[in-house]
Amino acid sequence: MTIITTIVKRLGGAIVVLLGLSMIIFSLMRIIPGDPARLALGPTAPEEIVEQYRERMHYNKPLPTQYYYWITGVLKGDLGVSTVTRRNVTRDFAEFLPATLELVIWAGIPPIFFALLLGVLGAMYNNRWPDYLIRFSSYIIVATPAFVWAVLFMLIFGYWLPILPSIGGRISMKFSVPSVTGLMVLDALIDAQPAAAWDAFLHLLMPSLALALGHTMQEARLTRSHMLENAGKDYITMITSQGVPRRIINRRFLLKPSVIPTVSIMGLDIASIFGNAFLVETIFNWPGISRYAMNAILSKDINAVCGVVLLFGVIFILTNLLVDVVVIILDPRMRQTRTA
Amino acid sequence: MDNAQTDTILEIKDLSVSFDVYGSISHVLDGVSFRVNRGQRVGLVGESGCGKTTTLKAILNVLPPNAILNKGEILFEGHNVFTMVDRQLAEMRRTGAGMIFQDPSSALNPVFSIKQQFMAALKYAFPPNTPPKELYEIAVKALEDVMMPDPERIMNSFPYQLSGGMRQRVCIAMTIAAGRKLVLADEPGTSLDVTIQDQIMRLIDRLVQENDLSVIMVAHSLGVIREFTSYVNIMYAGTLVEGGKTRDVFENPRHPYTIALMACVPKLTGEGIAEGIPGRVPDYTAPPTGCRYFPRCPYAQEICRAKKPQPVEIDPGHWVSCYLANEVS
Amino acid sequence: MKAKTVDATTTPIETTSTRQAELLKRSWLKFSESKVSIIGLVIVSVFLLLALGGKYLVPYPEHIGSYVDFANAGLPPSSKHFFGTDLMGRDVFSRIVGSFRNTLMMGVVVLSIAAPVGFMVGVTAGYNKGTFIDTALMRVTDMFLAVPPLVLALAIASVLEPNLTNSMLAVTAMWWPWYARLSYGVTSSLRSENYIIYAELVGAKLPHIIFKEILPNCLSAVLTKMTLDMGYVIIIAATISYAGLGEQAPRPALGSMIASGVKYMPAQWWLTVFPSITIMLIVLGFNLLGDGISSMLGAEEI
Repeated sequence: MTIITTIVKRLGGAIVVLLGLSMIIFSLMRIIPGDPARLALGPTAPEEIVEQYRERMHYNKPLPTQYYYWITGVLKGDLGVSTVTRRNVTRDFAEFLPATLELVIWAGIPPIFFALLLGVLGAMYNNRWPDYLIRFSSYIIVATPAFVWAVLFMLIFGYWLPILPSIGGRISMKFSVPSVTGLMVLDALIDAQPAAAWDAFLHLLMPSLALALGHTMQEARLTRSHMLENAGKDYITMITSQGVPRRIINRRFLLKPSVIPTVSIMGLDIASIFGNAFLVETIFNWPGISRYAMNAILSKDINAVCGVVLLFGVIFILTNLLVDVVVIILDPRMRQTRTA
Repeated sequence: MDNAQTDTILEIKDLSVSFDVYGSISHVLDGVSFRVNRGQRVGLVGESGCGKTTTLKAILNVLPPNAILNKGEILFEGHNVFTMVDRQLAEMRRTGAGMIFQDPSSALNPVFSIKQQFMAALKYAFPPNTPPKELYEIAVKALEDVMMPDPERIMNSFPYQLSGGMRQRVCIAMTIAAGRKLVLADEPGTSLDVTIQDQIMRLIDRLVQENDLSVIMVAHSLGVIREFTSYVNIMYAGTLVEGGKTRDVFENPRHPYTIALMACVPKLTGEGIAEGIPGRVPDYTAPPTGCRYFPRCPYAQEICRAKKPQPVEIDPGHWVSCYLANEVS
Repeated sequence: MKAKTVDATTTPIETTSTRQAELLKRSWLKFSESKVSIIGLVIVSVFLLLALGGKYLVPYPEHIGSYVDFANAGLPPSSKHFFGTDLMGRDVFSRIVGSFRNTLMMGVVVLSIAAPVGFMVGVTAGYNKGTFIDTALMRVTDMFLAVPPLVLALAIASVLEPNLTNSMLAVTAMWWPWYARLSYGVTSSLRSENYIIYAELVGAKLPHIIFKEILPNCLSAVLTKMTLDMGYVIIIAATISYAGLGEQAPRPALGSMIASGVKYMPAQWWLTVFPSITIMLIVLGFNLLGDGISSMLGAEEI
């Protein structure tokens, strides 16, 4: 019951946030110096065609009217035409989003378990060598931007010891996998092509690792410090003094309260994965939405940029909602009905 | 009660504990020794921060990792808790001694239900093949014993859904349920409302009587100690300064600190506001040499600074650690 | 027995100066409890020194700008050129050090604008908790927080002319909401504290309440976040510069140096590897220092 109430409340707030965001990004893209119709059609287009285009896109109307036309389109699922691909942005999304989702899922979900494992190990071996090793590497890893990892991986695993594909992309040319889910490894398995699945997995390895490293170690550090902090709490002393074995305490009564704060920041981690995917996809030629957005940004493709920013807003809000629901399930205190 | 050897349940000998706080060492407990007999109720009195809780945690060997045991031993039924192997230590905690914490809001894990916590505690206190159903009934019975209405609902609650008094009752139930012999009560009412505090003290009083338990009652309220205990130890800054039968100590306090402490109790007879003791508990990183009370003591002499006074028995069973034991009154 | 007071000299008298010295010593002990904080302090000090005086310390100061020497182009690391030379024949080490000033400026400018702006927004909203002002301000804050920070920064940077100033503007625009959130949290929890209510009751002016009562309580959280954020700002700045939206050639920036080096992998590996390691070291230094400061100020790890 409380979970549903929370979801409804959050979604209500999310609509306001998304509307505001659409206004911000829409006005932002309209203050680009230069004529948007001219920018879209190029310097060689004849003036009457540009004029027609301007009329059709409502660029000659005041800004609020333009926004009205745009946002009513967006609500109907029409994000406008991209000046780069010359297709509707909605169609571009359908093509490029699955690749990014595959990358983000691999970079986002399996590493959580490593993060928790490393955090627990670090706390259990506090101030002994496994802890020092984990802390030392976490400092180095967190301090290195994802695109630097991408470049270094490419150099080391792609060129120096060429064990992973250095050209990038999602899969080698020789394979052809029919799209079912849009997730390449899964599609290859569905199509009973284990070799293709393995090949797709190898392509995924470097970009997803580059995206995963930073947030994994950040979460590991957070888990460790909460484990150590909570270990000194009265409720741990209490359950210890009741004669419950150490390992049960660590695994159950200490782990759960220590993991909750880590889980609650994971929404932000997902955002940083999406953000970092911009450069990582470009570096690894990954045909995803971030690379598409990067090109759109660099070529000032107005509709595409507005659409991508909104899309990221929606994804971000949905993942945060999911994270909130998980936290409510884990932490009974969150179920408390808040008095306003 | 004459044969002390067989009747002693707990004996603390010369316990000294320090804490490592950011590289500087706090010498908290210094040479604490006392004994608890079977069925006896012993009080431990002193200002906040004088090491009472540390003493209790040491008995269960649950001191925080930055604690250092300098010397001393704690014998529970003749076995030293600091040298026990894990199995013995667990056994002692499960059925020997249990602790009631000062602040019930932090003593229960916020993200587990009462049932989950209670059952985990009972599971290891009873033989491994005890059916969960039976454990559950023991827990419900224990909650009824502490006068909890609707124990089944309480079992399915989370700590945040209970009031402070209810949480403390749950903690008491958890401590009593497994049939422990010694209860360490760390100011069990301090963080609660006065009326609730009174209920909790009566509850403990009744449970101790019914189950024939031994108790160490820590308090800074002298009224509680006077009413509840038969023997009392006065603690100042990590050292015991006076001890004896509660009546003797209250009627004839001999240590300057005890005297000052008694003077702090507001009198209902209208003699004005209590005096308080000038000064404060010393910095444990550099505690006073000799008697730890001398910087605040109106009777201090040169020798008090130089050398720690040894306990002197002034009346049968009533001892004082003060050079002026026979002169001050 | 007559009561006798102890000689005053036997009890240590605490003066303010010994108390301050004690506090300083305690702070240093907390800071240096983890030895890595000192490593952070050393790295950051070296970085600051090179950022401020780099021009006079590097072997080839003229290589920091536009300089061409094709005879020495693409040389691997040697004793003459520690980090090798790029394809224009410029010393990579000198260019890396030459980029430090802008890196430092980026962090300082972004944080010194974002923190006060965010603080004012957060305090205003938190102080008026439950009113329309609160809802409006925090909704706007949420809007900025609803997109991955880098996406917004890239979008803003792309709209504007690509240069250092505009990339600072873009990063600042995405950074203030974090400080708004932080000070909003602190303020709204302080709102019901007795001393704030008391200050209102005695008729204290709003600026007094904000700057004398609330600011000191936010300060340690904000300062801790600022030191920890220095590293993140440098990462974001490098990323924007990698995308080509930051400082423009021929002036050096760590991100753009890596971007241009990538084209010559793996043959001229030093063009990418050394700037990469440099970014890592600088951010590492600020993170370690930030952790030390946060444990000194006793704030929770953020």
